[in-house]
Amino acid sequence: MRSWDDFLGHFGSVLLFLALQLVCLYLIVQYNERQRTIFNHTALLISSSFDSRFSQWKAYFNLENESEKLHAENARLRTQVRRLQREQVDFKNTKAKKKPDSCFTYHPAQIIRNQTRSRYNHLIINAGHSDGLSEGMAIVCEKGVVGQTDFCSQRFCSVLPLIHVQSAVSATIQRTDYFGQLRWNGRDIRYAQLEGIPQHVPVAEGDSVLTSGYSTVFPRGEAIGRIHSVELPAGSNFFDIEVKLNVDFGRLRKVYWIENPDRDEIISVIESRRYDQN
Amino acid sequence: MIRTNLGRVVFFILIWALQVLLFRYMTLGWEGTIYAQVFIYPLFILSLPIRMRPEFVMLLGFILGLCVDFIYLSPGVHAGALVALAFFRRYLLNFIEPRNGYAVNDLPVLSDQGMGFIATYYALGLILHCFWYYVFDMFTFQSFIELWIKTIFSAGFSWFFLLIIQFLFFYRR
Repeated sequence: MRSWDDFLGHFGSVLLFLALQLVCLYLIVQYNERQRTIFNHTALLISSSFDSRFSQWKAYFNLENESEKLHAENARLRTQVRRLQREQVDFKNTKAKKKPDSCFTYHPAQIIRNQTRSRYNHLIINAGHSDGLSEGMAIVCEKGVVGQTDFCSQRFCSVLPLIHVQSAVSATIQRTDYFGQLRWNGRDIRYAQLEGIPQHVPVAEGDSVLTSGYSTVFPRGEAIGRIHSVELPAGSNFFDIEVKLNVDFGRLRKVYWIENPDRDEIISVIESRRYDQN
Repeated sequence: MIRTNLGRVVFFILIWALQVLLFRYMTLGWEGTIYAQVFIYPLFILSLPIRMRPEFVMLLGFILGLCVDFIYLSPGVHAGALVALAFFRRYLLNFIEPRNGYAVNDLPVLSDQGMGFIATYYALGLILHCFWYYVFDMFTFQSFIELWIKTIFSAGFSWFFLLIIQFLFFYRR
């Protein structure tokens, strides 16, 4: 109590002053037309700037959520693009197939572990058997091909990326349509090597390299990279081609895995053919 | 006259009546803007006893300000300015305290304090009051020059009239 009295003794007049000033301000704003206009205008300015800042913060904290949504949306749209391409082809074909090929479906996933320093790099994504993922499915991101699935658990899956010395992807040069194998020599994660392009093919630096679609894994036309340098080793029939990869493996986060509904059927065809030969 | 409580009540009414009946009409301005007004009612607050409790001074200032606002049709503007003057009056009195201090029953008026003190005291008090008044009146800091022109002109005219009142009523030979 004593300290409270002291406080009032010291600051009572200040408190009363502030209180009376507040009362006066209230009266001014309430009953004077001009001052009220100014007050309302200023209040609007302040509150709107505050609101916009607050909504910026909110948006910032919501970004993860938002990008999650966009990611899913993108997967849907990519699937739809594939379907539309397919329908266009079917439409142009006068002899349409009785049962058209199914179309590739894109699903969103996130990389939860990344590795770039080894020759045997592996990524882990947060989708697995329970999501419908199995071995040998394509992983792409918005810039291009990442790799293919390797080993799947119930909820996670390891990915064999392009930057693994054992990875091999069938790729074509977009301008000439010749295809070869894309491999990685284990040195620079920015570059991969395209093998099997014969020396008579006109190859130029800067040509786009896409997936060929000649495998059960990747759909046709997913971007891989651009030709960085071309060399013809002495006495060889095939070019040594360095491909600058579109995907920056050092900062990869959101990816899509691609489901090919026809895959099992195609594989069974391949298997039976092998069976034949043996 | 203002040394008793009854006298102060009469003084209160008198100064309010003078302000709203006479000095309300003494304004100077052009092109729709009033640059100088005459405020004599701060004299009531400025003339209260030196040792009066500041809370009480502020309440009196609030009441007188509201009474003036009632006629000026500007609720809160004069009251706010006068409350500010009442609050800062204490510090003002400390600031210009004569070398030998105030006598116990002195009032800050001409007959008790002399010409130099009164002129300084009123000048500072009126500048404070007018500044506060015009801040509340304009309610914007867009034009500092206009604010200060109004403050200085109004304070100057009011100062002149306050000194005349002092000579008329508080001059003791």
